Order: sequence, then structure tokens, then C-alpha cells
Amino acid sequence: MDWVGLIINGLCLGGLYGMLGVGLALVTGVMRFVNISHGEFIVMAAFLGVFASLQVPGINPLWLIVPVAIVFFFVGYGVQAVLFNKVVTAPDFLAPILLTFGFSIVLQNVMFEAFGTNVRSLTAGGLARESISVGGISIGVLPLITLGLAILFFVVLQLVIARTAFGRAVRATADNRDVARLMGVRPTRIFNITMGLSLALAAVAGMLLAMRATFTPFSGLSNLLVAFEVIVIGGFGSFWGALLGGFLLGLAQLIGLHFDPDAGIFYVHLAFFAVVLFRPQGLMGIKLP
Amino acid sequence: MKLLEVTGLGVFYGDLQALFDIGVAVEAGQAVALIGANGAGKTTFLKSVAGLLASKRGRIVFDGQEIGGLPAERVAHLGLALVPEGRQLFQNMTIEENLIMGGYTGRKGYWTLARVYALFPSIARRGGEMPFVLSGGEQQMVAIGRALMANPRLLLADEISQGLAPVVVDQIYKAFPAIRAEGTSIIVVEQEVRRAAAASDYTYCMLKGRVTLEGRSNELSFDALSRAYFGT
Repeated sequence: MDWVGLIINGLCLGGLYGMLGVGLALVTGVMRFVNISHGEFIVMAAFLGVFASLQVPGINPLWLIVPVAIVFFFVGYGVQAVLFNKVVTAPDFLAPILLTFGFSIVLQNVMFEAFGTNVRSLTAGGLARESISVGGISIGVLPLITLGLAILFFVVLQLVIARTAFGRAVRATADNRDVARLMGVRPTRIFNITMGLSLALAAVAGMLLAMRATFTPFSGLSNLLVAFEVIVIGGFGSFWGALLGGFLLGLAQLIGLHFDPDAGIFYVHLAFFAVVLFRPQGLMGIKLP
Repeated sequence: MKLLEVTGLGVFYGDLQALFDIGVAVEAGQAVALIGANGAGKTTFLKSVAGLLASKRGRIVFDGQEIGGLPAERVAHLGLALVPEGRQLFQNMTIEENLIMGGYTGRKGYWTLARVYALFPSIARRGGEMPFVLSGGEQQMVAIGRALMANPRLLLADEISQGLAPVVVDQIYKAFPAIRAEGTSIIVVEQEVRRAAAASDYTYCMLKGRVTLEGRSNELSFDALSRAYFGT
């Protein structure tokens, strides 16, 4: 049995899962905001990718990832500024959940009206079939690129949060919004940029997902579930935890499928359940006494 | 022209009125003490001047500019810095990052990271540590240093002696002359009447949301202060 190949492919899938979750981790950690429509933005980015690649058929969809991500940064900024900021400071914790839940239903139906229920996907062309040989093991090129991009984005995000003045302002706002204001930080601007980054990361995940699997306007929920599971088992507020959580889920999924090929996405949820049972604070979370 | 002039200030928490017709003035270069018992409204006053409380009437004029309608993040850029009650350092970053965060407005002036460390030698070599490992007194020094990093013209210090041993509080108050010498005026909120009087030129006493007494710190008698403080 090809354990090494299985583990490496599990990590590649895990990188994708981590990408699904990190955008969500950003907004729940910084703004304490639960964005139920996060999955729909992942799917919308996939649709935009399909649309864009039809306009420029000669170009490999991988090159479209950055432009789509940039578009979704501005989408996130705009949605936060116009809509979500109205409930971020609401004393009722249900308000963001209700708003984003309603918004997700609106988005699903808009996509359905625009694109129908046809199953879609993005082909990365020849790249999807290529594999390289490392030490005698055959690894797909596309999964490797996915893993590489996931690690790259995590590192960049971590550096931005930890080393830049903007990142410091984000951490201050997350810790104590009023005291951050005393330092001259404008919370709404921080929220706008954070949501922009969140949806840009969701867009990257959506594009990578579309190259790997098919999607419809209603695929958002299953992505949202994985995203939440990733941040819960990673530990709230930890980006590396989200990546590790993704790895764990990816490994569980592929190893589970190897022994039980008809199980679908069952082993992801089983692994999530196991972690919550035995380590409720998550892999990198802190246990409160 | 006064540095800060507050007239007829009324502040509301929802339907509850917390401050009634407050009048406070600070001249440039002055240190003003605001004393009173718990619940008198001292913290409410500082927070509303700093722009954290929106629901108010009356006038707050800082450096000739009406700031009553401005949010805290705008007021900070104008040169007003609040050291909040209970220190409230950012727990998810180091001491040095907390201090650097204080300089976020980019206001230029005497105070830099090096000079803040020189003012408070106890925290000088502890920049890389997290706030929770420092003692209360050291955390208070970081909180004051963080406010100084904005090079404010007016520093609002809310109960900096709270929960600290007198010896430690002495150490902190010793920094005040240096702060004033570099051109920062101070409003210090205190429960300890004697310490407040010793550190200030002018004193206001508050009770139940109103100013009950004001005068030059060295001219107010202990009897008058007691009556104004307790409302007897």
C-alpha cells in the first residue's frame, strides 16, 4: 500500500481545506463575526474563474487565481462597508449570523438564476494529469501546486499580521476595540480590509477547488462546513492551527476513502468529531481553566 | 486660550444621565486633578472628552476646536491621549508592540520608544515580554508610555494608582514633572485626595455626576474637600 503517496496527497488536500478555513478564521478571530455566507463567496469565485477562463481560453486557469482574488478583495471590502458593518457592533450576537445566513440564501439564488444548476468545473488542462516522480513516488503536480500556494498564503498572512503596522492595528482592534480607537485606529477601516482579505483567500480556495472537483450554486454549504471544522479543530484565532486542522482533515479523508471508497466526505466529519471530543480547545487553542 | 474647555457637559448612558452640567478647564502647561468617590462620574468624564461616548450635550473645545462630535479615533490624532482605567494593555502583543501601537497616529514630538524606556527604567529591558508577566506597577508604566508615544498635548490619566502599592505609585508620579516639562498637560483622575492635590495646580471634585468644588490645589481646605467628596 502506498502510504507515503497517500499521506502526501492527504496533505495537499489538507492545504486546500486549510485555505477554505483561513479566510473564515480571519474574520472570526479579528471581528468576532460569523460569516455564514463564506461558502457562497467560495463558489462565486469559482464561477468567476469559469467565466474568466472562457474569455481567455488560451491561458491556464492557475494564472487567473490572483486577478480573481484581487476582485474578491474589493468585493469583501464593499460588502463589509455597505452591509456587514451595520451588525458588527450590534450587542446581539445573533445579528451577524442572521444577516449572513439570509445573505447566503440570496447569493445562492442569484447564482442559480444566473448560471442554472449545471455542474461546473475548471480544467487546469494538461497540468491536471501531470505528475512528478519524487524518490520513486508519483505525486500529482496540481495537488503539489495547491499545497504550495496554501503554505505560501499562510506564511504571507502570518507575516502581515505579525510584522506590519497594519497587522498590529488588526491585533489591537481584535483585542480591545475601544482602546484601539484611543490610539487613532479606525475600526471600520480595519474591518473592511480584513473582510477583503478574507474573501480574497476564499477566492483562491474557490479557484483551487474548482480545478479539483465540480461545483454548483449550492455547493457553498459543504465548503462552509469544512471551513468551520478547520477553524474549530485548529483553535480559534490561530492561523497555523487552521492549516494543521486542514492537514488533519485532509489526511483523515484520503486515508478513510482508501479503506472505504464509498464513504464520500464522511471521514472529514468523523475526524472533526474525534478532535472536538478529545481536545475541545483545538490543536493550537488554549484551554481556559 | 485654554487648552481644554468643557462647558455644560451632560452625558447619557441610554436614558440614564451620568453627568450634569460639567464645567472643566485646563490651561496649557497645567496639571489638573479630578477627584471623587466611586461612581462620581470621573471615568465617564474622561471617556467622553476622549470621544468614546457619543451620547452627550454641551461643548468640549480642545485647542480652539470643538471636538464634542468627534469619534475617539479622530480625537487621538488631534493630540489628546487617554490612559484608560485598569491599564487595558493589548494582551496579544508584547510590551514593545504595545508602546509602538501608541505611536500609531504618527504624531511627532519629544517622546520616542527610547525616551519612554528612559522615563521608566523598570520596563526598559522588558520590551519582548507579554503584558501578563509584568507587575501592576510596570503595566501602568507601559500604559502611560503607550499614551506618551502619541506625543499628546493633553494626557488624561484615569486612576493610575488603582490597585498599586503606595511605593509603586510614588515611582509613577515621579515621572509627571518630566512629562509636563516636555509640553504635555495632564488631567489626573484620583481617589487619593492628598496625592492628587500634591501632583496638580488645580482641583475639581465630583460627586454623583456633578462638580461640587473647584479651586487651586494648595488653597482648598481638607474640610471643604471632604464635604465636596462625600456630599455631607
